[in-house]
Amino acid sequence: MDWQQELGLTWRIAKLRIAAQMQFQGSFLMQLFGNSIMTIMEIVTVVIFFQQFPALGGWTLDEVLLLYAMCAIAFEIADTMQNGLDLVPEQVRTGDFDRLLTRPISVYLQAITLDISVRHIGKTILAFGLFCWAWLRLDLALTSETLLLLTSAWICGIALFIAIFTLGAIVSFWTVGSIEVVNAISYGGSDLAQYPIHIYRRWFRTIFIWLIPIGFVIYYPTLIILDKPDPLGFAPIAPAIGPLLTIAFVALVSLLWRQGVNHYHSTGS
Amino acid sequence: MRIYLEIARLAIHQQLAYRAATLAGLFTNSVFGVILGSVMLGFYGSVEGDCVNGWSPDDAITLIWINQSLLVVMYLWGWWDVSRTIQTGAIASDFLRPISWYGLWLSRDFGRALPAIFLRMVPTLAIGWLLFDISLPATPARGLWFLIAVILGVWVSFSIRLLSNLLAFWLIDHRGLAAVWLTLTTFLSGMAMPIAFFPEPLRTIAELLPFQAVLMSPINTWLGKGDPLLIIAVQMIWIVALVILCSIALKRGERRLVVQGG
Amino acid sequence: MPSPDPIVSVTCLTRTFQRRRLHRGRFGALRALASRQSDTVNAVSDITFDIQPGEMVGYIGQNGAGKSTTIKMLCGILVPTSGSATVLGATPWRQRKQLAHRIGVVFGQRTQLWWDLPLRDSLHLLRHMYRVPGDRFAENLATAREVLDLDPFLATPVRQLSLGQRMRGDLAAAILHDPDLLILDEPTIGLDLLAKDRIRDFLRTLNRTHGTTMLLTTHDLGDIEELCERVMVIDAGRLRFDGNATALQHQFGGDIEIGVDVAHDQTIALANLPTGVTGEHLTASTWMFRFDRGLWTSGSAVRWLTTIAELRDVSINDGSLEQMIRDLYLSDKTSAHNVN
Repeated sequence: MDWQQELGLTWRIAKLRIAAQMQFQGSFLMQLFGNSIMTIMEIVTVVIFFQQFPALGGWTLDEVLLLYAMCAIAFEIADTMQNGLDLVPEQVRTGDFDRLLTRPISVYLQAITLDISVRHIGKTILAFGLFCWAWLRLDLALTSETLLLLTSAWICGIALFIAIFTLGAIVSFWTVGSIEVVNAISYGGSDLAQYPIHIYRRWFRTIFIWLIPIGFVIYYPTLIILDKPDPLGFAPIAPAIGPLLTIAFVALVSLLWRQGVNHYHSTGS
Repeated sequence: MRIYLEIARLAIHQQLAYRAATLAGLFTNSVFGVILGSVMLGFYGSVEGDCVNGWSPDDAITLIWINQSLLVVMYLWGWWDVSRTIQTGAIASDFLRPISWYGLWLSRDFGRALPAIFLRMVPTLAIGWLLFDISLPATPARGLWFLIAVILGVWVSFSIRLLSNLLAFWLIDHRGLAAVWLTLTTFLSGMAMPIAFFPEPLRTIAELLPFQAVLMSPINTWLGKGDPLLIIAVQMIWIVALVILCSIALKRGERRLVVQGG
Repeated sequence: MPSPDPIVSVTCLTRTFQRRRLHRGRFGALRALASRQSDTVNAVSDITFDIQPGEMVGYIGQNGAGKSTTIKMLCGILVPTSGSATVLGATPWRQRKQLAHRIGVVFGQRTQLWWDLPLRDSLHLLRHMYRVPGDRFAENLATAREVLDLDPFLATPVRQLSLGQRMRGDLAAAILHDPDLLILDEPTIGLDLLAKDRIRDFLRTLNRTHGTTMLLTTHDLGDIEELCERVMVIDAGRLRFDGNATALQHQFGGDIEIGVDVAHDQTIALANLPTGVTGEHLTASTWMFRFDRGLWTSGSAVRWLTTIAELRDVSINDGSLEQMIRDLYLSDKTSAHNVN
């Protein structure tokens, strides 16, 4: 009950902040455009690669683009929702984080609404467009099974990416200048999951399959939908184990967040 | 001259102070080196022959890791220090200092870049060599040319950044521009793949732009692609050209500043 | 008045920090890169005090003396190394959220408001956050709008407010939920005289009408003079003085010095001055007067001066807190709890 009220309040804060942002139309549109061009160039890069090479790990251009879009949709939505967490390291450094602790609602929800940014909307729309385009080109059927796979992939993907971003904020409770490590995991994780995960070396992909289960959450649903050969052999268990590993990861991160806030309590700034 | 050395020395000290940031940065570069390197090898796995447009898999992997190692040295992204001084008006007092405005920023930038060569470039290349067995310069001469090209590359990068910062004289909000900028420079400098992979006419365009003088020039000297003297000469021409452009932009901007009253 | 439990009760509160050792000289930065030595610093050591309902207490000390650290512990932001504190019956760092409903916190140098939202929206959000009933909110907002004169900038985004406006907004935000205790960290820092007056006025009104207890840190002697009967002085983490504000000022504040410049045709007779006043003729039209703090305030002194001459210019040196605290340290008579 308490919990619902806090979520409602969070949504209220977010709405007001979005409304305030929309007022600077010029700069908002420019940012929307600027961010979209980044996604466009990434797609162009993939296309150019496929002009020189016929396939990537046995996957064609359309297949890789579908995987890219699957991952980008989850990542961009997560990135929009987590923006406030980006500000936590700076707030911890300057001591501004204090004020979140003088208020009677969840520190995490306050942190998430520190900055609400709609600038990723352009990228999210582009990713959806790319997804539909690749889906049509590949002539895939939308069955209840594929729908279930897509939904679970996106829900788990969003949760996973938000959890990774949270990890970044958590690290900053202990050390200054840590933001880059987390960028490596979050942006790196999304970059990595945009390509078929079997092209990576064993030790590397193991991390991103079992520890941070992006592989299970994005790669396998796509692989099953595309009906591609499964070089790693986890396809039968992936739909079940992906969500389970995601829940475990999210639980671990929320535990760490608590620890981090407690650490902040005990050290100050 | 002493004053510029002193500014550079201070900047070096600043860099050395961030131990955690250095380690974190190396981690990031390595992660992206592994990802982009794996993707590159994944693509090469799909072709029959060994070379694509004159680039062997070894060459391409080396390009990926050199790019990662030079990312912070070149610092092509996210440097808007000068545009901030324009927006706040602080630039007016910077002009009044008894030393060269250009020299001030250039020495600061070299103070930032030089320690990055030791703290970021060398370790990242070492990690790339350990993990991906990237090829080392075939001769000591190539290594030396590479170092020269890196230093000149920093200068080219600085000049490009300075020029784009000066746009703040005419633009009120540069955040959108920054995003477009980041994307274009990333792409045109050969960050993700050798320029040789680009389709025509994009390839010719990229070769005629200064961005290739930042990353491709050092890479080509390392791999022994092309005459190193020519590569260095092209970098120098770009430095001169960009300095001229910057000074024109600065003069016009200054006039604008005076007209608007800061 | 009955004597209920104290609002704040602090016993032997201590807080230490680890500070990274800095390396100087050649290769200093490189050595810092390699080593992890640190020193222990006592930010607050062994302080004990109570604050009774309705009191307005000034908490003063130099920068880094431990004021903010104490305040952070009382708000529940920071856990102490040892000792105990009870605020409104709760242990702040264990029952932070419950306590947050009953205290108001204002950090002078940081805003509690959302920088991109109009002040009005921020206040409404806080109303929901603290679950303030509609009628209480309406009443408190009306009071704040009137006394703090918020109306001209209620619709302005917080980032566009001047420091004084922002501070007034922050104060309004801090009292919406009828807190029993208001903790103010430098509430008048950087403000002009008019804004300071308005804020002091507001705090006095609040104390009188609601009986709100207040603890405020400040560098401004005026805040103490106009708001606080009781003052605590902290130095290097130790409580050095806890007692009556006028006593402190009387003892260590020195005289009030007022220089005046009078119209040309006027002169001031230095004979027969009232008690506690000494005067000195400096140049043709300027005089310097010293007023005994026990008998005069800067206000009453200026009022008296205006009755004896037509003043063209007045400069007041009312002593500074810093000076007073320095004098306090220099004197040997000090020990914690020496008055009261």
